Amino acid sequence: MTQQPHTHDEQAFNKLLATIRIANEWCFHHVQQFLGSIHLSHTLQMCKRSTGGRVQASVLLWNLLACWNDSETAVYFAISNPDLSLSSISVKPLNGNFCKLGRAGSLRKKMEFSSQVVSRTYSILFSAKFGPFSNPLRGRPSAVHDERAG
Amino acid sequence: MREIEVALTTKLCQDLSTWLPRFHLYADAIIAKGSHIGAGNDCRVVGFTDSTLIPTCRPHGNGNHQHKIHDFTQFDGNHRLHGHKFLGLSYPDGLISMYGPYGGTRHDGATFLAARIVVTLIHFRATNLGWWAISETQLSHSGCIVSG
Repeated sequence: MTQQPHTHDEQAFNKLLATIRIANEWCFHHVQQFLGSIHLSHTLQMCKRSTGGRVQASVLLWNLLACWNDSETAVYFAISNPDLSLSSISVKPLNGNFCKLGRAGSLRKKMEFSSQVVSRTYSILFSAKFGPFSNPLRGRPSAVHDERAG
Repeated sequence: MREIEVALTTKLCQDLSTWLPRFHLYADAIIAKGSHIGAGNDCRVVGFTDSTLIPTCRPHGNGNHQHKIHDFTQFDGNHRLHGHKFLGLSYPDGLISMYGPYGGTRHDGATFLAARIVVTLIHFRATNLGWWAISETQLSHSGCIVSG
């Protein structure tokens, strides 16, 4: 049973810590929405499938997606995404939209899509000899400069 | 394939030195958003950590409900589920470093210590690469950990 805060100090402390958890829960939610198979507990059978590796692979793919498209967290903090340079990585999304098939397609299409993206990402990343972050610093957006100057 | 997976996830998702060139951007963004922690000090917050439980099946199936095979190492009493514990380190630009998997019984603080984030941050500070801090909810305030 969770003990609820009663005093003013306890409520303030709980609210302060809740803000940190919310920022993390956003990221966990994004990962689970992006690759929903990691949340299907009845298919995550230990010693039969790589249950831990599937989560790490989904995080890797989410980081790639967050570099291509602005994530909600980056918009909230008004910060630029890293340049996945990632000139050496040129993974092209299927049908021109990375999220389209993953959101609207059937489960079979989702799994095929995920497996294709994983295999293609691994092949391209491995050919790049693990050097994708040679120039991750792309600079600060001008909007942030204007906001702080004002 | 397994070696590639381990190498990639270690290189891209867990290596703090990968994100080091962008730490000052993270700290500036957090302070600009109104954080009073780290403003005007040398120690600057760059990320937030929290643990999550990824539920899995009961080890060896539901036939193991009488605990013939010890499955308590994957059981989280808080969520009352079997699963893996992952420590997520999220940055303000939406990128995530995921540490794990750990057993479901491990506390958030134990996963934080096992991830050796503090050791890496202390190494950064000793080598004059900056005094960075991680905002954590389960551990007490120290040099590289900020609670709240």
